[in-house]
Amino acid sequence: LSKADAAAAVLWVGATLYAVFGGADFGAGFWALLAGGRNRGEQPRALIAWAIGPVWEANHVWLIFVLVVLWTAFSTAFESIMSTLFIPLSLAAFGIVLRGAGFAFHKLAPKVRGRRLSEYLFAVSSVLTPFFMGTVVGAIASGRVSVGNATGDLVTSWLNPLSLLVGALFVATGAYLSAVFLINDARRFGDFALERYFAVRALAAALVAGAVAFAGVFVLRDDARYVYDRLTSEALPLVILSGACGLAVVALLVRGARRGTRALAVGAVVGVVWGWGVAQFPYLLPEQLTISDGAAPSATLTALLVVFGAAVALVLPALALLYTLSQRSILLESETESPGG
Amino acid sequence: MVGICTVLIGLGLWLGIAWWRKRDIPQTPWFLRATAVSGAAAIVALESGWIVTEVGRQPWIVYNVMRTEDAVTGASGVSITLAAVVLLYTALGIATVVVLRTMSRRWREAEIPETDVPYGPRSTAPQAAESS
Repeated sequence: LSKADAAAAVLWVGATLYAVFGGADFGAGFWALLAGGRNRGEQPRALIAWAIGPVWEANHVWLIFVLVVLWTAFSTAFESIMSTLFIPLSLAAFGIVLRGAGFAFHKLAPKVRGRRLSEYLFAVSSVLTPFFMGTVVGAIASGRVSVGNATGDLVTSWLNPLSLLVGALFVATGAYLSAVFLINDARRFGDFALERYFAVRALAAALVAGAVAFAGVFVLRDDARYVYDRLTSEALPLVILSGACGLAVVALLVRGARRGTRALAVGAVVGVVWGWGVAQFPYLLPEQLTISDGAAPSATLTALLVVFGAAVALVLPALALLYTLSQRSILLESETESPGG
Repeated sequence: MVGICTVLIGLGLWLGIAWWRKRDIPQTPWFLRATAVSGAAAIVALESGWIVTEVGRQPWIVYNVMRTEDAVTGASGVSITLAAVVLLYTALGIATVVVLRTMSRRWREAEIPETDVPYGPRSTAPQAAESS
């Protein structure tokens, strides 16, 4: 394992954490959007705001982490991706900004109409942002990002069947993870009606995500042959692991069991992210730029790995504490009313 | 930037000395006037600092390593993105001012408790958090 490979692994760890925590966070916005009108959607939306309130900003540090590692360790890949895919990336960035503003303002806006607008902004951008991020991943996996400053097609690189499908997969995966998490949040809150509400939605999202992933295999075969070939050979164990975890969650939910659903749902997502990583190996941009060719000089990589080690030692315990406190309902976001009423 | 910074440090020293000697803020309206202006002055200093580094560095984006014209994206449509960013942040800036004014009005009318703000202090901390 070279230093460049280690840096790529660090990049993938960040991407995995973002897929899990950021994905669940976006998924919560998806369910807020689908919750329905004022009165009907009130309770699910209140649970969502209550559940993600203390952690939603922390979930997005992983995006910054991924960007920093990418431009530090693999600046050529960063340049190529950012310049060719600036349209979906800009749209995703706008979505992140609007989403945060919507979430921050949704209790504070002066009029009811302003509060509704904030909720709507939060929910819509929670769906659009992961979708555009998915189109970016689809563009990279299918080799549509060529090496250099804006050398790929600015539009067709991300507006193609594979990109759109991966975009849909991102939205569906986030919704699935989030619904599984919200089942547990509803139970933690003691609202059994909402627990069933999200169990049904988790099942539906699992089936949709599974179907989209299955369709994705065929689009990959026609459009991203390199990734497809390795996904069905070297990365096959991870694909099988992901599928098995997904099916196990469905089986547990059908039986009404809750224990273990979160870990298995996370396992399904981790399997897909690392399956993609193994399928791309040894390329950063399939068949165009390898990890070793795209890597920064040795001294930079050493510094990056040292910083990563320090970050693991400093940041992970803090984040673990945040999530533990949040899960034990010790943290109160600045709100007095609760989902139950 | 340097001028405003020096004045702000002076203001802090003024308060520090008054507090050290009398355990109170300086008893002159000029101190309150200066304090009221200092918030906006800090932002002016910050922006001036950015302008000094960003404009002063030209034509280099990385000093003596890479020129700005060599670093700029080759993609078209940069002006559209710039316009979109300006519009977005103008709208967010207006929304922020409106929300802050609403919060201030609601507090004065005691419509919501003072703790009910993002990042605000919490008067009724949960019991488990108090022990930590």
